[in-house]
Amino acid sequence: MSTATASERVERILSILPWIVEVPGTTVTEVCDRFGMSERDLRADLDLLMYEVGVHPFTPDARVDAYVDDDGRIFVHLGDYFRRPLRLTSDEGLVLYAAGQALLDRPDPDPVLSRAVDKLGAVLGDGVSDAVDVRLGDADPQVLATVRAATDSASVLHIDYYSFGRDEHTTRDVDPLRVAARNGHWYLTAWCRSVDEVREFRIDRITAATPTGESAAAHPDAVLDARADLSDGRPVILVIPPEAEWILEAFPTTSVERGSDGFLTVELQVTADPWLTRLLLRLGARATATDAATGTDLAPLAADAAARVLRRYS
Amino acid sequence: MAKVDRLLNIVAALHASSGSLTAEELRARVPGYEQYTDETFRRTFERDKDDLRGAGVPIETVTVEHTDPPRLGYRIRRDRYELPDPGLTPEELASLHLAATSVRLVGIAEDEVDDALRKLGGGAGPATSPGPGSDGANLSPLSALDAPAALAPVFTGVLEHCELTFLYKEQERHLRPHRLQYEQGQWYVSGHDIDRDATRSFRLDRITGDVTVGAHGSFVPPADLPEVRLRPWELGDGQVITAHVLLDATVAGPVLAEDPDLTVSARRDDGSIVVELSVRNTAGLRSFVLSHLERAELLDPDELRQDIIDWLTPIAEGTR
Repeated sequence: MSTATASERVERILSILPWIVEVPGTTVTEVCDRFGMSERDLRADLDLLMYEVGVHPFTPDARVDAYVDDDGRIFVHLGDYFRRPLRLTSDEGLVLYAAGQALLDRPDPDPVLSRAVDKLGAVLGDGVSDAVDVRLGDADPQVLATVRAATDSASVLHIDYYSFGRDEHTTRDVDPLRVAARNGHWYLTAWCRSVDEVREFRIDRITAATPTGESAAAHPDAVLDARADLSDGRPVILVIPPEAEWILEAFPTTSVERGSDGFLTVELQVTADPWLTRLLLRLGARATATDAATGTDLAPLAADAAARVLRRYS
Repeated sequence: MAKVDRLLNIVAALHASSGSLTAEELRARVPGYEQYTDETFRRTFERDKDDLRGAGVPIETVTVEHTDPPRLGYRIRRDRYELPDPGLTPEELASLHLAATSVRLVGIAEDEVDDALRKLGGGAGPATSPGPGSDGANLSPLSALDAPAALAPVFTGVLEHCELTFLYKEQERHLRPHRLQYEQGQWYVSGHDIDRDATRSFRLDRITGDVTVGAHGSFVPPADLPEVRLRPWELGDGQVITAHVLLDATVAGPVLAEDPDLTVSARRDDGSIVVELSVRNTAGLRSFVLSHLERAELLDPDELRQDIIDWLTPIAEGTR
């Protein structure tokens, strides 16, 4: 920490000094452990306090008095000006409070964390209690709990899964590897026994999950971050009217061009036709789609689907 | 490092003073300044103030009373400086540490967690990996949320009841922020929009430029906090129309899992359900219904049913 700027060092000293004052006779080792500092940095901070810090007129009684005895015990006496640590900055309050709130958003919140978040909230401001909400994702609480328990205990899960992209229901046995939230959704990363590969399942699309009672196999070499492999998709070119610009924010695109008529030409990778079909229905008749590789007009895909939906309305 | 003691001495001098101190008064009280010429002192003092504010020390600038022409003074208010003792047990502190390790805010330096824990008394030690069965995979965070630049100032505004001023879609907005929410992968702030005199929500990643945070405690939030509206058919200011949508059994489960608060007005024997929606945005409703293809049907009202038919017919005919 010898590279700390003056500002960082001041913040550190103002943070730990009140604690040292409150625990007379604490040791150098204890303070270093507690605050994750090196002994060299701590001793440098204490030296500086002892010789240089106080208030006008800097008579002995107006100075901070700090010393370390031969056994490494620290004693600090100081005027009442450093008696409490600094308030938390917005960033500091945020990183703890938001993370705590996120973990409490479940049916069985940890009571210790719940008390901790309440106490933290009380010193952060008056308006905290319901004013900050963090929902990492929505999912059936039962399913999420089952999936979590199976992941923790490394048990095989039998799942019914609805693949939105492929618009199909499947059932399979998986070795759960990890549960994590991303972009507002919970995902289970698991070794799928049907395809012998790592797959990611959105937990709100797992309609049922049951442990089979078997222990999951270890997959030490599994690459957990393999998303749906885009390389087996096909590039599709969409020409969309200006009001459909929202798709730029909603999906990853490989290129975007704006024409003089305001229409956008957008290229994206599509792995599953049912997904594309749905997108085309939502974009409406003013949008066109072509397969970038073959130049095939994909309008029939949308036309078939539109006809199927219309049958329900006739 | 002579600068560190000078900074600490400024803090001590301001704490020891009952009112505010001018720059000249500080110059006389803080060792280290005496070697500087007027011009060097002025620049050094400005930098020192910035460094202290950077360290989180709330130095306020005030006009000294009974001065003509008015002179600037500096002060530290105890209640803005001191962290009240939250009374956290070591176990509670460790649970916060673990939470901050599991859920990260991308865009905020990771050492903010350490800084915060130090102020709260330290002692949590390195956070341990959550749960049994950790084969190394669990060491990665449970979630990493993007933290847009506006997040920290908005958090302050919500906590301390400060009015916020910011640019949103190129318009200046003035908001009394009542609630901060992370929903469906985005941060939203909702509250009372002063110019529009109505409740509004804003997506934080669409706020451009700096957020100006007004004075603390400048309003009292309502008892009923606003909910951010994220359902596509609810976005907008149109008149509310009640619509019913039939969802086949195969999509009913996933739709309810994603939005458990939907109103289900009927459950049929075949497992399908009818949901009742309050629609302000018909395009959003159409998008929701069509995303389920032939597994969803808009039952009523008739004019919205007709809208779907009119929308799909040219697609089905392939005419453009």
